[in-house]
Amino acid sequence: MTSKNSINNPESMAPGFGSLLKEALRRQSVLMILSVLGSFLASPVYYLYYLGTRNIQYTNLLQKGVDAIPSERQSRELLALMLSCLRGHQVCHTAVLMAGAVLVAFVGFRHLFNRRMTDLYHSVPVTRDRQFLAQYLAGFLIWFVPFLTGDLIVLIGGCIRCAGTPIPSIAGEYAVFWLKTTFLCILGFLIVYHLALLAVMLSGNVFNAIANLLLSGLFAGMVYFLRYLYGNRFLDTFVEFPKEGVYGTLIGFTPLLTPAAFCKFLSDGTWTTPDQRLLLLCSGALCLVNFALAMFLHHKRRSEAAEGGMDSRLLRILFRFVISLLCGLVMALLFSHLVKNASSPQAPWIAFGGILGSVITFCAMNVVYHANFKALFAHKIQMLLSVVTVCCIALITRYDALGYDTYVPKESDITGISLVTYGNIGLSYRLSFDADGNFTDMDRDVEEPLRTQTFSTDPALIHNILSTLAAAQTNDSSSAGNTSDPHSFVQRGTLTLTVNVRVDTKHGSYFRTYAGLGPAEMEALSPILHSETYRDTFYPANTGQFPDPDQIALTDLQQKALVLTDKERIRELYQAYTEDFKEQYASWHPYYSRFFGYLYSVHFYYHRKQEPSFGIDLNMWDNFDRTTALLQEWYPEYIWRGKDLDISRLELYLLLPEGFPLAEYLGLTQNANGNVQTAYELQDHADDHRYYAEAQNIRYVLTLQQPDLSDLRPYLCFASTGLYYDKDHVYIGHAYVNTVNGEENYRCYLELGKMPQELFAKIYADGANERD
Amino acid sequence: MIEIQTVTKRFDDITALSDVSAAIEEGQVFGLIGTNGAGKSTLLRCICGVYQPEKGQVSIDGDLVYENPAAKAKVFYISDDQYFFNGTPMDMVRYYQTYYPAFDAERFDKLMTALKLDPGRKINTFSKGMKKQLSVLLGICSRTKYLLCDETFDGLDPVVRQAIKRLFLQEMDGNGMTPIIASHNLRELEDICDHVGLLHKGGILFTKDLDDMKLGIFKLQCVLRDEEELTGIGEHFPILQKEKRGTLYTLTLRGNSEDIRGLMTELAPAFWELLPLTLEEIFISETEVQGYDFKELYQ
Repeated sequence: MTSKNSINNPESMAPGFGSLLKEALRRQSVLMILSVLGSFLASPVYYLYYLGTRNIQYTNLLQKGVDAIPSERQSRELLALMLSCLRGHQVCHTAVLMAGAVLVAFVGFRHLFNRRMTDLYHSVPVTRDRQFLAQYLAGFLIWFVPFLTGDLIVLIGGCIRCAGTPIPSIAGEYAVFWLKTTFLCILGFLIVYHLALLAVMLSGNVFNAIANLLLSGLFAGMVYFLRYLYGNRFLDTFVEFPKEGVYGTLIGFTPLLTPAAFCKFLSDGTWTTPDQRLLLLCSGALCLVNFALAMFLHHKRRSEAAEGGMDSRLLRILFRFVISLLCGLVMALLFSHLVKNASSPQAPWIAFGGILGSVITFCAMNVVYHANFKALFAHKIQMLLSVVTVCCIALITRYDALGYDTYVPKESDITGISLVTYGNIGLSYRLSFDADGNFTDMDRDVEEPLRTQTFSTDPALIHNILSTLAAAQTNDSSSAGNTSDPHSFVQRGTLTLTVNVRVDTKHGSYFRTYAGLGPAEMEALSPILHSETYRDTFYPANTGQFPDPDQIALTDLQQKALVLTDKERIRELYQAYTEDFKEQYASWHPYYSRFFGYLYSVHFYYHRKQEPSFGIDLNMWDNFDRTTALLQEWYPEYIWRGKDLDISRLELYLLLPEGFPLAEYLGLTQNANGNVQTAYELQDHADDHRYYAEAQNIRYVLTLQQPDLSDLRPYLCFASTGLYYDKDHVYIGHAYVNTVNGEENYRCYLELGKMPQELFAKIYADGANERD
Repeated sequence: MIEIQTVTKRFDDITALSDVSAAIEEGQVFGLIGTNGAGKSTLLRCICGVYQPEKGQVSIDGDLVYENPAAKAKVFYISDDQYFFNGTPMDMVRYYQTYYPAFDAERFDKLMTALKLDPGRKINTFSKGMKKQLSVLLGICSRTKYLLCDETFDGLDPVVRQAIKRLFLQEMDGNGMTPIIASHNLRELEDICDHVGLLHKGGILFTKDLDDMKLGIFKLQCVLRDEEELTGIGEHFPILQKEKRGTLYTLTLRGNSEDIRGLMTELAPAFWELLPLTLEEIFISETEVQGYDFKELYQ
């Protein structure tokens, strides 16, 4: 029996951290079982399933053992497949880890939602900080140990498989990639875990915690997205630039989206872009801040907050206001969309939507916070404030009451202007050429000069331009409708001009877009458009004149010269485009000079072993209707149709002669639109190809290679983003393959398809005969 | 000693405790009584460090209790609706053993057997009374200096209640435990408490030794010959309460029993009898003296 002395010396009996941890783990045995199941299903089981089902060719190789792999190339192919498994595994595991992080936080600290449990937990002799740390660590271990065990199985299995190939060293590459996925998984888990802990600490019941989790986890993204939606919907001159760092910061501060962004890291195969670095930095910092905040709030949390709403009255007011504000704004936008074609004024509907959304959300939050339906209409003044704020924001934006569209800074404040005459930022690329006119590289060009290059610093000129553009934006008659210019905008009918502007002032920069501009506005802009700075920035080569077709670089994969007939035909096409453009578009239009750059994208050919195969990538200007019309004019036997990019280009075709080793057909490209093609998608595409290929009796073999970066560089070019159809509208599209080279990821594509015979004959008369 | 110094505790707009001060000595059974919502549970939660008072402080043996494991290790809190994990009593034992290393598992087994509770049975299959018994046993076996019981005897049958009371006394004698029992049922506390404190509307009216109170207040039933005799009694002893049914007076007097007896012998009324007061009657009288209406308190 314990003596009185032992009772009177309680300090000597304080529980150790290990005991607390053990106790915390013991109380969550069900969660541990769930974690083990989830981790094993998402890691080794999924991995085996993926390997077993995604690719028959490799499954056969795996089943037959390493002896069946005849070459180093196939070792590389196997590695690529296994890495793609890890990517797929990463996607799958991300879902599991996010769910696990939320579950562990909510279950581990569920005593904070229950008064009886709170009494039990808070009356025992232990500080809250120790209790928090023990519970926190228990939650982490419950997820981490099964996760790591499952992933180690994947690592060991993969390394053994790689080591058994003709290139045993690829096991190292596999292990490095595994380490990256593991690191990102742990970081992703911690980000969501800490966020969920923060939400729990702020809440008195589970519903409130979920609401807080969603709000704090998506707040930055929601606000950014709402701002974008409102700007796009209601403001004529609103423009969203892909500013450097915005993505990284935005996603970094939107923790519920961060793990998904990490998946993209792995798919892209790069970690070094500024956005990615910023994302890691922001999310890591936020992760630490959230942890510290959660611990602080746990320490300060009042026990009586259990089963209530928000622990802090101030936060309760703030959160309820913010959530009802966001929901009200969304509803206002929705109603404006619903009545956009109605003859009645929009304002009452927008206000009604805002009030409805705000009031419903506010009442729902009342019920959640008070855990009482009788509190549905409590805090009427706060509710009124929320409603008024929603209506003010929605209506002010809708009617541009603050003069966003018509804003022109004072002349004395202006310091510079940069502009780009293009309607679609981020989809255009600058091509670089060497001294001989050969294509050397490409960059996203449109956004760069807009951010960094100032084309004029004359405040009077800039003020005049801005005033003209702002006036044009609010006055339809100012567009080119009444001009007598035969090459005017209206007469072209389909060619519209958009100018994106960055104005530098003493108080900072701002951006605007002005669309549907005519000659009057172009005249105002011409001092800049025709300035050497502007042209040199956008069109560094051959500005103002069409290039000599001989300067077009046409090389094949082995750096061999192309067959002359190919080149001649391309020249013919080139000339046809040029003449058409000269005929159709006057020199006043900025596209006139831009067009030269576009023609230089005739850059990629493939020819091998004198086989009648070839490729063309002839990009036309971004006038889809005109492109389609030209194709229809030149090749009337086909039905040319499409929307946007679908058929705006006469793209690359490869003819696949019978008996040709199709594995040799290989093209290299970058993805031009930022689209990520994973191996998973590739497989799906490949299935499509197989289907259509069989339908047209075209055989092919999907091939992966691991070329050196230096070999790849000259061949990087536009990605083909369209879908291609023959005259019967049968898809004859293409496929992409990712290849990883160190930190950089390049994409190989194999374009497959049966070129229409007539088209083939027109372009490549000799080749058509050879092929047949 | 537990010292409660001007403790104020608010829940949003509600003030549960208002400037409560009291001292609970060791080695006594302290009864905390009061109406529903008087603040008994809140005060107990402040004592065991669950709640942090907005104002004032609670200290145990000189140490502030909130966020102080050393002070909290001297207290075991049994709430009015104790939480148990989804498991057996042994799971609870393991839990408390983590926090109270002096937990006497051997004694727990013996007491469980004595009270005919199955240690291997799921707690959620226990009746309300069995859960109460279990919580008391866990508290006793944790070997803390102070045991805070919130409505612990509510739901216990008379036999078990007596057994628990005896256990308390045994622990007090053997291990120096000091039980602090909060209840609104005065009759339950009467035969176990040494000292009582009355909470009402968030404030403590007084704390007194029960015996002292019983020795200084009596109920006198008598048939007096005239009103002068009543005036004479009133001149010698304060009459806290007076009731007349026919010729029978029932008076609550504050004074020494010997003195009252002497006076009554001297007055020699037609009939008189001196009776002890129950705890409930004492508090009714005391609270009326303090200006609180009986009906307000106990209806």
